[in-house]
Amino acid sequence: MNLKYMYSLLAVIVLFLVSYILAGTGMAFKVLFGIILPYAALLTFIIGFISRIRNWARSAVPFRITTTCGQQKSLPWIKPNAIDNPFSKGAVVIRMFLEIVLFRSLFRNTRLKMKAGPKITYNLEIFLWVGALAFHYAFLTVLLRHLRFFTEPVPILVQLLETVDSFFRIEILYDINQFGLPGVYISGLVLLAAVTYLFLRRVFIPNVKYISLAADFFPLFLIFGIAFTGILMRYVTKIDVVAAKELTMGLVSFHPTIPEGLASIFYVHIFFVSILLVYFPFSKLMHIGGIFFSPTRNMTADTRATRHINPWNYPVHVHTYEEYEDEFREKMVEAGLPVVKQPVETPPEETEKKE
Amino acid sequence: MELTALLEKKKETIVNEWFEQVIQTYAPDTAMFYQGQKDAFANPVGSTTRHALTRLFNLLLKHNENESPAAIIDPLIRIRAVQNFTPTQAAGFVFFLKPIVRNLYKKNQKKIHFDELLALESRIDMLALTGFDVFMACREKIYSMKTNVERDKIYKAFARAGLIKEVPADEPDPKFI
Amino acid sequence: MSDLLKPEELYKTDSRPPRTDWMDTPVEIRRGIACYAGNPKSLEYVGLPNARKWSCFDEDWQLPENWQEIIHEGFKERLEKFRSFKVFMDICVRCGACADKCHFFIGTGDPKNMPVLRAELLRSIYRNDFTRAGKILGKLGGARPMTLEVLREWWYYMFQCSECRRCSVFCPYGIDTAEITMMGRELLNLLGLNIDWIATPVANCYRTGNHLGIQPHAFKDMLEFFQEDIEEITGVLVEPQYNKVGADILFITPSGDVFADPGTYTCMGYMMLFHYLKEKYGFDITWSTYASEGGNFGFFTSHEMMKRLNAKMYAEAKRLGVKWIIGGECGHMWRVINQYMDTMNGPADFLEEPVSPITGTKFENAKSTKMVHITEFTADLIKHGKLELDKSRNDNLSVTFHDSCNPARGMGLLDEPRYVIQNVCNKFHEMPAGTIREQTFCCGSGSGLNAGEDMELRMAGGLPRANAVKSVHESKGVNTLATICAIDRAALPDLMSYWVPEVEVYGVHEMVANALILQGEKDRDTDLRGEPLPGMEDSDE
Repeated sequence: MNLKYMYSLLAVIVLFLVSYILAGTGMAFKVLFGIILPYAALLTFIIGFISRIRNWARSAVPFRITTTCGQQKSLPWIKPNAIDNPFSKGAVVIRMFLEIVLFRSLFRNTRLKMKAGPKITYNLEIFLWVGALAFHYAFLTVLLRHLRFFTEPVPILVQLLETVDSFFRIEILYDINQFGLPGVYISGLVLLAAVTYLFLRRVFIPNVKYISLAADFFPLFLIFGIAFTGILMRYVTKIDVVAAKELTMGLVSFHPTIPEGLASIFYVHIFFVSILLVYFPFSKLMHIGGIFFSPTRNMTADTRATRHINPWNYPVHVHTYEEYEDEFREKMVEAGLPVVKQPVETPPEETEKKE
Repeated sequence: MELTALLEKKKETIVNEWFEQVIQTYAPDTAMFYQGQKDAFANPVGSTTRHALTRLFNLLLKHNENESPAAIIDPLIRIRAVQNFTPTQAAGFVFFLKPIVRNLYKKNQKKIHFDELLALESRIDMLALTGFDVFMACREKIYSMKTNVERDKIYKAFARAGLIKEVPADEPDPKFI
Repeated sequence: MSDLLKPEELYKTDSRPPRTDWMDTPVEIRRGIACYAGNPKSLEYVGLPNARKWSCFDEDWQLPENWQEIIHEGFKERLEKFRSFKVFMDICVRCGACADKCHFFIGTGDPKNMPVLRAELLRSIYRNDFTRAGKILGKLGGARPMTLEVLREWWYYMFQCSECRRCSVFCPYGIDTAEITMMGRELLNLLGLNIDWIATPVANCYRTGNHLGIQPHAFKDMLEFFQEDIEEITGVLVEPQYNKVGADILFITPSGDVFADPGTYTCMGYMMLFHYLKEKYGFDITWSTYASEGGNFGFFTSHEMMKRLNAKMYAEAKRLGVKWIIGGECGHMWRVINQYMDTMNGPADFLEEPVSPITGTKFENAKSTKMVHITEFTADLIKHGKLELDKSRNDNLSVTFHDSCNPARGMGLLDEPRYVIQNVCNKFHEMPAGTIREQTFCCGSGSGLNAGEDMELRMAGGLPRANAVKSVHESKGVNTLATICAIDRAALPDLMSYWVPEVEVYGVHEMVANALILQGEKDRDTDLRGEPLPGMEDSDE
């Protein structure tokens, strides 16, 4: 039994039960889950996020320690690798863009040649890259789609995204007589699948399991819970979308209300999102901000051409040439090495060391 | 003859099982990597182990008789000699083959002569002893390299003391003494 | 049979240790992996704290009373001073991409050598001491208090990392374990926990100018030996200049090249090249006995020590009044020069922007630091046809090139040495992709780990590199491993002699010198090592 994920799983289950039960008990808890906690969570998220970023920004960047992943720019006839060994700020922007948008370094893990030995082989590395991409893009899509709940009228781009994202529409006349299935969003399913994959690899790949902490499982379960409750509401319990939007629009317009007819599962969904928001700034999820601050990626590799300034550079003890010559003068002269001061005839006792 | 034929037929399974057991001598997370990563250059331990075991098995089946057993077992023992193993653990993996073959024998007792099994086991014993020889050679190599480093230090101390000219003109290369 | 153990059971007696979580697995400091502690005299000489005679195998490490406080304060200070440290402590998601990229993990199989875990050793303390979540959640949040056990673990694993940065190439956030190891070692140094293979070269370098403690006259003596050897082989007397005020260029190379085979042949190579350029083009370059060390083991101690040792380069350049500096073949020396020197000890406004006096090429990429890598310099000479070369003299060498970690991942010096090699040798074969260029595997002995007592670690850590060499040895007949790093030249011969004994280690400029046709040279019949040149095998003396 892996305690690390059991603790996290338990935590999420408890959160689920607590919110599910309490939301059903009366108005007070609906206000708590539907209004107070979301506001508090958002506030915590914003303040927490900003303070983390400020905290990083406060630390100095004493040296330009770019990881160079390609040929440097040196002699004019040698072709440099402009992106992986960025000489200019523009190249750094491209490098960072590819890193953030395509997870380029993660892709490097992937090896193309495979299939040797008698067993069926599988390329775990590419799965990590694909899984990570699927997860992050699905999450982003889901997030953007939810803008429809926070805007009126719904921006055309969000509507477009929904159209692209959904398939399998058997919902002609849906609005009128509630017949058929609503359009199935790919992103929701992909998100669920990707989260499941990311979880399973932490359980089944021994070295990933070995390095995983409880803190690595918790957000996975939480996001799973969010996606799961979302899907449940949309396709199974069919919540009252109009009421849901009334609540969310209330939040946005700072005239919060608790509309009638919203099932407990909706409050669970909102509660999970609130927890995620609160958890975010205190956890590894901050990697979304941290990547922008990673000195091995966000700096140019032109240190020999333009000097980098260390804000706390301080003078240090050095062994000067004079001290050196004082110690070795006789031997240097004897060996025919040039000296600055000619040796004076002194008794040999005077050989104290200087620091 | 029967046993050899049977082993030949089951070669892949046997070698796989043997490989599996040898790899399980590492920590589980490490074992998974040694087993799973098929790129020989990203995973020299896993690929060398698999390759060496296959060739050793062929040797037992008398396929490559003109090659010396020591040369075949060397690459694998050479790795295990510098890893976190006792001598038994480093060289004892050869014996893992015995139970595998015995199980096979038990299932086919009627067809196979016991003498054949004994003969094969003797060959496995010899292979294990060869493995131990190689292991010792590797360890001796390590020790001699360590000694050379110490020797090197003394040589440099001489030089620092300005005694280098006392050493015969053809300065000895401390690494190769 | 019945009362005998079954063979299965018999062989199980040596089964692997029980599976425990990494935090609960106590560290076992092993001989063959760990290095000897720093000599107290060395620590004292450079003013490092808590100098005393101790050993990592002792029960009592003789730590200062308040050692936990020292670590805590040191940690805090470094979080403020290095954004890299703070960010890398915070953003790892433990995706596992780095796990199998470390040569020490691949070779030793020790799970704590996975880069992510090496970093977690520090992160667990960071969370406990500096984050709210860690304080509240404790072990669940991956936090643990600083104990002696943790300290021992730090010491053991911070000196099983060669700061090669291979993991940082694969990390989606660019987390660089070298950076983490450097911080870990700085913290350990606050308690006087260092290894002798680093501490003593540091003290020597501080005092005499080089790691080996070669005094000025002995330094000159060594070069005189090489002069004799070169004269014997080529019939030409080369005359290096020392500490020459007013020379055009200062040359600094690791002292390993002066004192340890096969680096010595590389050193002879530099001397011959400079002589050639002096005779033909009036090239004026000087060696320095004061700045007689390119390498910088301070880099493996602390940022401050790195700066203290590095200061000699600019100081000597200024004193001698040279125009700019050429640096020899060395790995970590070039990471220091490329990414730290100008920032630490610059600006070098007393030097000129480097221009090759022979070809007129401006080294734009070095215009601020004013230090040029010798392979950049030589590649430029060859490109402009300034060297007369007889490639066939290296025909008995079938060469492959080992990218040293620091020039590869801390600089990007990849094609310059290849260009030089391919212009002085006819036979050149690359090792497999994934083991060269920015993905190169470390020699296993970098960052001060090339001692003797940790030979098992070095051999296991060097396995991925040796394995790639072996493959080109077997498939292409490669017998020469070329490199541009002095630690490589010291460490790889051992590595080769264990894994691929048929392969010899060469510096690039040794091969340049073999091919270089000196003015007035006699018919050479041996190379710099005294081995017969191709076609000369029979003309034994």
